[in-house]
Amino acid sequence: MKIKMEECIVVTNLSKTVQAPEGPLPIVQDIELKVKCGEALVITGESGSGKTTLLGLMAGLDTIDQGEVILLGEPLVNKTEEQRAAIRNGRVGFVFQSFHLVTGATALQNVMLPLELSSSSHNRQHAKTLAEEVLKQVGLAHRMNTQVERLSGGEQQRVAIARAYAVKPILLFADEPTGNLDSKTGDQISELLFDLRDRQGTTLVLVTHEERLAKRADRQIKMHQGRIIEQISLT
Amino acid sequence: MMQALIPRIHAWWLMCLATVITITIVAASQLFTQRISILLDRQASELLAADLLIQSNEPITRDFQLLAQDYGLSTASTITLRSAIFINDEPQLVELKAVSDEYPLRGTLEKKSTLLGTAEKSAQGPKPGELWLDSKIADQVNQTIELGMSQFNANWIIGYEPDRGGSLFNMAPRILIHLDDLDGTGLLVAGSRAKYYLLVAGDTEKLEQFEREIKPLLVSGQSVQTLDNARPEMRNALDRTRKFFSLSIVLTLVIAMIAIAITARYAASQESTRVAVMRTFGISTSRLLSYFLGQVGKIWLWSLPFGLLGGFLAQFPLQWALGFWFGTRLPETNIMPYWMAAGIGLISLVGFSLPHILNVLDTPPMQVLRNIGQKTTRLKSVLVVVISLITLLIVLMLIVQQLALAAMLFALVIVIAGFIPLMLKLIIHLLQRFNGKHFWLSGYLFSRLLSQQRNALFVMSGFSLTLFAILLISQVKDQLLYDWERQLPQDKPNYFLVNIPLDKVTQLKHFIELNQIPSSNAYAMVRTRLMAINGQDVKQMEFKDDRARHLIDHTFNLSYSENLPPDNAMVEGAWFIDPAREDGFSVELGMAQKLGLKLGDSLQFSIAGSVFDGEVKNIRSVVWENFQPNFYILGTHKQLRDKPQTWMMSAFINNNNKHLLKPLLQQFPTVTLLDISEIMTRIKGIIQRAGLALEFFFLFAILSGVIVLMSALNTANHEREMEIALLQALGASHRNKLGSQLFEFLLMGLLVGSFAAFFANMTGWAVGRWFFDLNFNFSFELWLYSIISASFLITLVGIVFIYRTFSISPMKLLRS
Repeated sequence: MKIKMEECIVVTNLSKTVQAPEGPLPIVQDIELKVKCGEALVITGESGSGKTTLLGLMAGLDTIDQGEVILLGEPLVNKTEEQRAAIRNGRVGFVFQSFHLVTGATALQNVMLPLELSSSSHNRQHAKTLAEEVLKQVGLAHRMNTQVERLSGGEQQRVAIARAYAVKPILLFADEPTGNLDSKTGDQISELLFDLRDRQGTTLVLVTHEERLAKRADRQIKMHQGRIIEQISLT
Repeated sequence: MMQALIPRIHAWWLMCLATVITITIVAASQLFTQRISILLDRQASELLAADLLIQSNEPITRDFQLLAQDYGLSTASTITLRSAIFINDEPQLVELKAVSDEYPLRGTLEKKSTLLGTAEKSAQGPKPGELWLDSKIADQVNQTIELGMSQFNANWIIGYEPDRGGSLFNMAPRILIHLDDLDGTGLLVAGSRAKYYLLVAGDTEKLEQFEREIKPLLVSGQSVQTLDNARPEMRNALDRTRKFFSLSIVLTLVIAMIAIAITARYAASQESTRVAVMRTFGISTSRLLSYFLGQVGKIWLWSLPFGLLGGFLAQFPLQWALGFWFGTRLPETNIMPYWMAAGIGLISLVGFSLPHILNVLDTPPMQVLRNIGQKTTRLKSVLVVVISLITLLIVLMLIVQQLALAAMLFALVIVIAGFIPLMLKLIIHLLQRFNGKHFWLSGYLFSRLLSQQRNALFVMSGFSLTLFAILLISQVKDQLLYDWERQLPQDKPNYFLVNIPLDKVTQLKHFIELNQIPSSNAYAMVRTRLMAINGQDVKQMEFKDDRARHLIDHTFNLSYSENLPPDNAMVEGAWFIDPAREDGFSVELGMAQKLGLKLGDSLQFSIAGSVFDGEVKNIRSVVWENFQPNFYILGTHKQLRDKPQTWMMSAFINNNNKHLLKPLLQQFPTVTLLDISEIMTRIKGIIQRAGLALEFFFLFAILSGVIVLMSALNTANHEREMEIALLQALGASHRNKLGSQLFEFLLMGLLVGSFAAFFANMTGWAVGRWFFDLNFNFSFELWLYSIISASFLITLVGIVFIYRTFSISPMKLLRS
């Protein structure tokens, strides 16, 4: 279900601390951030700068220690895991560095998975048609019925992208989507990611340490030691 | 830190547990079967209470005794027969044995004054006037006991009787009296079913000479028994029991070994990263191999004391369940079973873990470190399978100690293990087509089951075998009980009155009629031996059927009747026109088929040395289950009425007319009452106890199945966590997550239950058809029970084990 709103994500005074052997260690501190619907935001920074943690907090995958995140108009603070999952259901897509496909299942079955989970899509035949369509869009029409572990790394990530876009999400989170791929395949994957985003008008939040990926985004934020140190508008 | 250690501890811990169970099963079963073996051996040496025994259906001539004494051999005499005594006005069938002063020649009698008192050895049996009784009726000690026409004071309880034997049906309590007292009881009359024994002992060479000389002098119904040929039927029966028991144990053991195999695989995979790191440091394969073998050795050493202790303790319930079967306490054993258990534990451990260890050592470190996963080549897979199968075969051979039987069991396991993957694939492919409304019925779940096929197969094979073994044994047991139950009539005669002297038949019939006791006709029993068929000596003829062979080798009862007996039907020929004037025989259909008899064939019989013959005049069918006196062969009045004979009849005696038994036996002291329902009830008891003993072992089988499941879940734990986290990230509800897992376990349970029921039905049918001569029907209840119990157990263990996975943070997807 699409909703009309100005800002898909609103982050206010967000902090996250973890327990390290030497005591509490802040990994995200005092984040203030707004992501407009339809915007492509890229988060960059060196390893350990807190960018993946920030993505997880914005997506409701992690619990918030301090501050507030409003995701698609719904505040995440004090929400249970179940309630946070319900907010994401059918509206949020993910692309992970390690693909996280269901092994043993075919490419088609993997793409059908979020469609079947989505409350708006009960009909399996309809889900199958949608999944086939999006797999064609990512260039895997000929590999639909292949088990995912038999696909190359690039092909697996294409399946993951197809899975993410299959539900036509309002918002897509991508964590280092090219991190496990060689540079040529990585380029192809980033092209695909942005092409589909452009076609569907999806809001994109992308975490990467590769500067060249950032160039296709609307805005880039740089992180260092859990803080946003720079925001650059790229449009 | 602890979180990282947990899976590794689990792997070794589960492997230890699987090894403990294996050692326990082997130790308990070996200890128990060896105790039975020792008992059998001891019985073989003491079975005769002599070195040589002459057995006869008629009194033994004194010449034999004198001849033995001429050779310088010692002799003793015994006579056994069945009779009844009254305990609290209730008749009790007893095995009466009258012994001479010299008895026993080998072994020692033991007697005690109270049931729990200390047994004292006795060189002699009862003195004249004394009566010793079985511990089963120990409460009668120091009471006056009426035996036929005599009264005795019960002086002692029998502690141990060397030639008691262990026949399954030898259940009537023993009474020992002196030989000189037997005549006074009036129980020994012409045609009594008494057995006469002359016991001989002494120098081996002299015995052989005596045996050579005595054999040609033996008449029909007499035989010589030595230690070599003593009671072969009893030995065979117990041997078969032991084998049946071993078979059940082996099935349980196979499951325990599957548990070792899968835990070893899991443990090895857990070590793959450590091995890869060590290899990058240049540690040699041989050093790594010795490290792993050291770990395996440690597991064995840790498991050993617990396994052996478990085996030691587990034999007690078995002793309780089966010890009384033999009428004596099972003898103590040596330490061989413990060695065997330790050895099989080690062989299983090494045999099932080595292929997985070699697999890990052979994996290039980069594959592991880059998390590509172990690429199993076809050659490696074959190696794992071959080594595991060889190990399985070795263990089976060590346990059953028979190549043919081990091969048969091996084949059974292979067939089941081969059948399950095929069926699993087929069923899942079919289910994938199912257009489920709910998410957890979607195709992806079936695909996941296929992707974890190896784990799923281990679980399914293990559980299917477990359940199969349980179902099979209980099915066979239930079927046996059902059959006996069916044969126990509610309103039909439940007592046989045998040993009725010819001159008392009319009086007894009058007594029965007067007291309105429902009864059958009375029939004569003429003990005879079949000598020839169509002039050919039956000893020279070959009969494949055991019952036919038994009939040829032993004396049996002929009878005669005016008319065709009730429940008999003519199949061929016609009933005798005038039985008082004609010769001829009427043969039961089954026996005619077994002996290959047809109308007009000539049969020759011998009774106490006199021979007579006649033709087969007709063939009739008999309803054996009706508890009426039935006979394989009936003759005519003309041939048999003057031969030595006793009579028998059946009667229905319930609580209402039980009080008549005492006057009946007082009036007819030689009559023996055989309570058939009592015998059937006792057999039922034995089967139920034996079944319980086996079911006790199945606890280990179920535990092994649970270990297999836990190991399989452990192996795929990371994948499962990632999937749950993924579902969480994609917005799946708790209901969807739980539902998907529940469905997987339920599906597994459904398949396992179905496979097990299918194999149990098939094997049950085969066992019933070929071993017990029973008709097996398809059992819907068995399928229902199998599917419900498998689904419940697998789902329960599965959900409990993976429950913490549901609370996994989806952040794991980003951090992995």
